[in-house]
Amino acid sequence: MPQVGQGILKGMGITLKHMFGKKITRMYPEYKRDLPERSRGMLTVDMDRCIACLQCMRVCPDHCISIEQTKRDADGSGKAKPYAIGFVIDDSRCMYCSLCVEVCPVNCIYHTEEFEAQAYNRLELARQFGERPVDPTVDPRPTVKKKPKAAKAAADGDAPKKAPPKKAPRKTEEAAS
Amino acid sequence: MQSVLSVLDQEPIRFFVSFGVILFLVLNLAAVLTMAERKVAGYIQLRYGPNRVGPRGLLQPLADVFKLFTKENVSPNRADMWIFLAAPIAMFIPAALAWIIIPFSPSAVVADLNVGILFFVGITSIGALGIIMAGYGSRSTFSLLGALRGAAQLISYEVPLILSLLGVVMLTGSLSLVEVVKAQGGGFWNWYFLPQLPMFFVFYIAGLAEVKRVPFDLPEGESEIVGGFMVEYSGMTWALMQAAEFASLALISAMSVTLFLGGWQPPIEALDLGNFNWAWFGLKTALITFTFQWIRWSVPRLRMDQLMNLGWKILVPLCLVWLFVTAGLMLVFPSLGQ
Repeated sequence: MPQVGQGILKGMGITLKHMFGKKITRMYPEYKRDLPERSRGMLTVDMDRCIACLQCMRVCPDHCISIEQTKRDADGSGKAKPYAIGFVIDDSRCMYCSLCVEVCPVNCIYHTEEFEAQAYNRLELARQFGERPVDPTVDPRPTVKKKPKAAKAAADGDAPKKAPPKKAPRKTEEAAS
Repeated sequence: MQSVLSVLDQEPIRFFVSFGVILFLVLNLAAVLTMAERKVAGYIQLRYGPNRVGPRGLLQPLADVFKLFTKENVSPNRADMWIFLAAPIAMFIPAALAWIIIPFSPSAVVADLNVGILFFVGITSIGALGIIMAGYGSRSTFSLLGALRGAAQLISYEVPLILSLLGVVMLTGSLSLVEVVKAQGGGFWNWYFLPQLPMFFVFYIAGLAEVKRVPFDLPEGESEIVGGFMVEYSGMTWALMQAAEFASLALISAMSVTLFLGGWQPPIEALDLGNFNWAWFGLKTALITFTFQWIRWSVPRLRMDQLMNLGWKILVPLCLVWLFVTAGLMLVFPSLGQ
């Protein structure tokens, strides 16, 4: 009997103490805390260093990088080399997997600390880096090198099958309604 | 000036003035209390609460009201529309109406009924009807379950609530709230919460249950019956229900201040403010309301059987015992009752 209500009183004492205590809220838009090291923000490209190898475009699982390639003698060596005249990163599709950063041979594509990607239109999130804009809505189908015939025949057995685009009836929506 | 005031006190004008005042008071109380609720919740949980709309978020209730006014009123297809739409009104009217007997200061009371306490008990009982109407009219399982729980809880806790008022009535010898407050004059040691401490305790807990606040918020439960009796309501009908809840929260605070904490009486004679004694009433009511909110964010809720046990096995016997103690004391010391 003497213990009745003690727990309630104790708990209410704690809440009252917290009421006048220091608040832990951080007012976000005014106060931004430092991001952790190696945090993955929006991607950016250093176009001066890009050698237009297209590896990032090929490795991207979401196909969010599109590059328009041309040949140009950019470094004055007298030889026309591949040059990325158009380079777009569609952030509405990017999933920050960092594969492009890992694969880049010259470290010209990297994460920034910018993470506030918001727009009224999805296409506004496609950021152009090259001299010439690239249409981000076109799927940049990576050019596949033709394998030699013998190798292709050998690989045919265990090559991943391309599933035909199935049009399954959308059962979930009907059930929901 | 005096003549203008006396004209305002004449009967037809007095009715409209007091009607407007009560409506203004109740609706604004509801708006301000939602804001206070969220602020208290935030501060207790180490947050700031709403702080974006206006200075320190003070215009948040305004934004809420605008949002609720523009929302569509959705109802279930099979709902009993008359009952469905009448339920929020049946909940709001009693909560607003009971304010007419609350004495804010000696002269500022809309109707000084000589059966004021009886009127309070009768009017607040109608709130249970509104809950049953809401649950029945929505034709939804969750609503009905919540309404049944609400009906059981409200009817059970009405018994200790009424019994706890009787001690005050015995001591005062009157059912008029103005008389009750006048009998508590002359310092805080004359307030009824000292001789009637168990009754105050019971009234407080039963009042908490009557307004369906957190330790006793069984009629609505996120985890088991979602929104309870108001699960089907949206827009202004929902807002009206919320307004009714907050108005009755303030009403219970005001009643406990009036009955046990000396109403407009200052704590010591020296602090008498004359015509501005309503400030004491407001201050005490705000304090009691704050304790309600404080409890809400500190105490876990009860189970249904625990709720019933507390009501019938603890509060009612406690009331009855203290009723006999009060009667015995009044018999031995006849000076207690005037």
